[in-house]
Amino acid sequence: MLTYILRRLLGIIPLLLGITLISFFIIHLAPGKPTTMQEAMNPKVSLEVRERLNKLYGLDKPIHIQYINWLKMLLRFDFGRSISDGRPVTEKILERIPVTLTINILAMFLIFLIAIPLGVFSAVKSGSVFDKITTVFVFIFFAMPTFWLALLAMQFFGIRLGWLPISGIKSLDFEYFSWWKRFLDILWHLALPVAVSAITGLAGISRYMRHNMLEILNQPYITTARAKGLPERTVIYKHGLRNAILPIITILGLSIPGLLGGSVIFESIFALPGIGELFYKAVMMRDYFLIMAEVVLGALLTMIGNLIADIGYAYADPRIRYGK
Amino acid sequence: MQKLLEIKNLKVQFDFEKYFISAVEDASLEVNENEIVGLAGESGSGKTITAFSITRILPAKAKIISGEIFFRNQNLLEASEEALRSIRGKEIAYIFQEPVAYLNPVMTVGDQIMEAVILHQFQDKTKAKDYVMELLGLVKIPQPQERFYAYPHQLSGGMNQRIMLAMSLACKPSLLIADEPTTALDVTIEAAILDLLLELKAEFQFSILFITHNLSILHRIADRIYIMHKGKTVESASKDDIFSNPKHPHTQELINAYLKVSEV
Amino acid sequence: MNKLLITGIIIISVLSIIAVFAPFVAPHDPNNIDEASLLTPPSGKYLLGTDQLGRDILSRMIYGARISLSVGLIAIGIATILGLILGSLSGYYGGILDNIIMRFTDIMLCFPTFFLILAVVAVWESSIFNIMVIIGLTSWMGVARLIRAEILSLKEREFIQAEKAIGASNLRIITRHLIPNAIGPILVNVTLGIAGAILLESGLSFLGLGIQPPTPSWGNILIEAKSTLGVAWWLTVFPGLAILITILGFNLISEGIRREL
Repeated sequence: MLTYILRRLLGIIPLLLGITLISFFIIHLAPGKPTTMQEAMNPKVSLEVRERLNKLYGLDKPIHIQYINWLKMLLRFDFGRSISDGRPVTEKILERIPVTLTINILAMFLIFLIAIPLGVFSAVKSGSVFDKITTVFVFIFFAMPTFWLALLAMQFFGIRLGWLPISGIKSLDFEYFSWWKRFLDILWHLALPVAVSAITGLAGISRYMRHNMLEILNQPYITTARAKGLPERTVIYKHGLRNAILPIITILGLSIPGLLGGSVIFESIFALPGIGELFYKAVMMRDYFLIMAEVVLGALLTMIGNLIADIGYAYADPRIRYGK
Repeated sequence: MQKLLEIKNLKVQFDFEKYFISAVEDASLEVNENEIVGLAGESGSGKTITAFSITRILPAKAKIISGEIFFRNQNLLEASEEALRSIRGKEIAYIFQEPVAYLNPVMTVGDQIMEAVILHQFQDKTKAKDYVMELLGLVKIPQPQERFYAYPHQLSGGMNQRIMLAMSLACKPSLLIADEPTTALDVTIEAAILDLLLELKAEFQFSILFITHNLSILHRIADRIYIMHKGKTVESASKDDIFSNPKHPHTQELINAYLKVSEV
Repeated sequence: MNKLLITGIIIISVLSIIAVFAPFVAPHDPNNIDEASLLTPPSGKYLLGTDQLGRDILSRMIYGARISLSVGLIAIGIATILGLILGSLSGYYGGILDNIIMRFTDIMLCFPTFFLILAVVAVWESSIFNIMVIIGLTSWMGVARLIRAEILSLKEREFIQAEKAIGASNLRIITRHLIPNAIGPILVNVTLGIAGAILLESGLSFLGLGIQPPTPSWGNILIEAKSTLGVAWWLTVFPGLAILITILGFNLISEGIRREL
């Protein structure tokens, strides 16, 4: 098991290299310099200032030198400075990570809380009316664009019913709230985004759980459990579910890139100050250091998620943990 | 000798909604106390489904259409699920082909045997564990203290089969149904398991319904033999009669398949 | 041919016909500004209502279908070809080539697709063509892995050895035998991919980074929906419904194919 972990960790290094390469060259694919857009937005910039900018961002050097310089910066966790306001990119990202993290973790929590029992019941009661109705719902929600669902939810719960706020992460008079009230205020603001964010994931995972459970319930050792005289509930949960749930751990990791990608639209719609919204602003401003940093970050988080999922699975499944 | 199990004209089908497949057409057999009965036939002849029908541990699509199954004068086909559950594992136990597939891969073998013990015998965990150790010794598992914590994939086929045996004998059943238990094992291990079965039977006096397509095994251990072919029991006789005077052509085929010249 | 498959095919066929014959189907010119009917709810004249510039939503949506379908088909077309090539080379020839290609696939899979696409959109302008290419270049990994796995499992089978023995060229073996055998899972992947591409395009357009107005796209109609939230429900409901039904159609086809396999 230890060797497995070490091997995986070592395998990350070429991946990281590849990620930085691609992130870098994507930005530099464009015709013209990456700062051309910036300059285009402010045509009054004089030649000297332009040259200073080029020097500042090292754009006067050949491209592979630029890449190496950037790589060196990365190793120091210095992602450069944001072109739009000059602040260090690392700082800007760090202050926004908590929001994105909170939303996604809460969403994942909600997904698993609902999707797993849903999938299990659908499998156990396969073919029943419950199963058929759930299948229809799942198909529909799976096909629903999340941003549309967000708009609908905002319209209905936010405006028409006025139950939940539809933007921002805190109310205007947040400053005057007690700690407890602040906590509740944030939760209240997060309710809609988390719920909407969870719905598509829910559809997919409950389907997957159902499929897995059905397969497991056909396994020979389920027959043994029944032959022993165990009550059906024990057979299903202790023997069936314990096996069926293993791959879900990997799914957890695999859903991270989707959640991150979704956060861009999500956070923009709900005006939540997370890294997704930051990315959106960076793209609009062609803030290329920030963009590269976010792309690398996204890939990094995905990789870490996969790693945790793989290692978690290897730990949970005794066939891998104590492999022969 | 007391009659333990009686199956009369069992008919089982697989129901796929738009069509059905016949698994068992007409099976009848009897098992008395303290005897070894063989149930032989080629793959697909319905032996396993017949055996699984006894305690109704059939796959979901299998439906019992007609017939009767009596266990000690209790009509099993009319018994409630609860009544069946109290018989499963306690009165009637199974061991299966390919033991590693029939053991839960994410539970230690010790825990799986404990489960059976706690369900039917001792609720107390320490007593149960001691009993499990006893059982492991009975089935001749070396180093039972360590093996208790092993997972099925860490053990060989032969060892896993012994675990299955321990699990099924935990509650001293009167009938052990063995569904091709040695088919997936290699010949030397097979011999050891068969020896073990005979030993245990002699000590605890239970009956065995031994299912296989290998007549040479039955030649060695069975008292009486039933032959199944295409879902029907086509012949039944004592072991000696079957081998010296096979009536059904299929019986002869099975004999030819497995008996070496020297043994006849 | 099961019910799911048939339903899906019907939906997509209807959609395709509407898209292809848009000029004949659409009741109005999608760019026609009717100053008398700014932001009006559905009525007899404008069945799905109008937007802030008085343009007919129904007509805009019909033309939007063209965008969505063409982006979906072409983007995934690019992705599938790319994936088939890379996956086939990888699986068939093995060795270092396989290693390199698989590494590359792993790296690409690490990026949240949307992030990657956004980054590219940041440096290139967002024309329909660019969007198709970008989505195509970031969606090939699934097919590549699929075809590689199929090839690896089929490579050693007898009928391939037989073909080799009679001197069939590698290209012929790959295109005539290996790929067709894997066609089932590939089709499933392709249909899901098209659905995904349409979703991506809508999302991009919604963020203002995709199809630019005045060209109508279901996604960019929703931009207005956001700013008129609570006031013009028809701007929100209808385009989103169109996206939903389209994606549902492709999902049904995909699931239908899967059940036939």
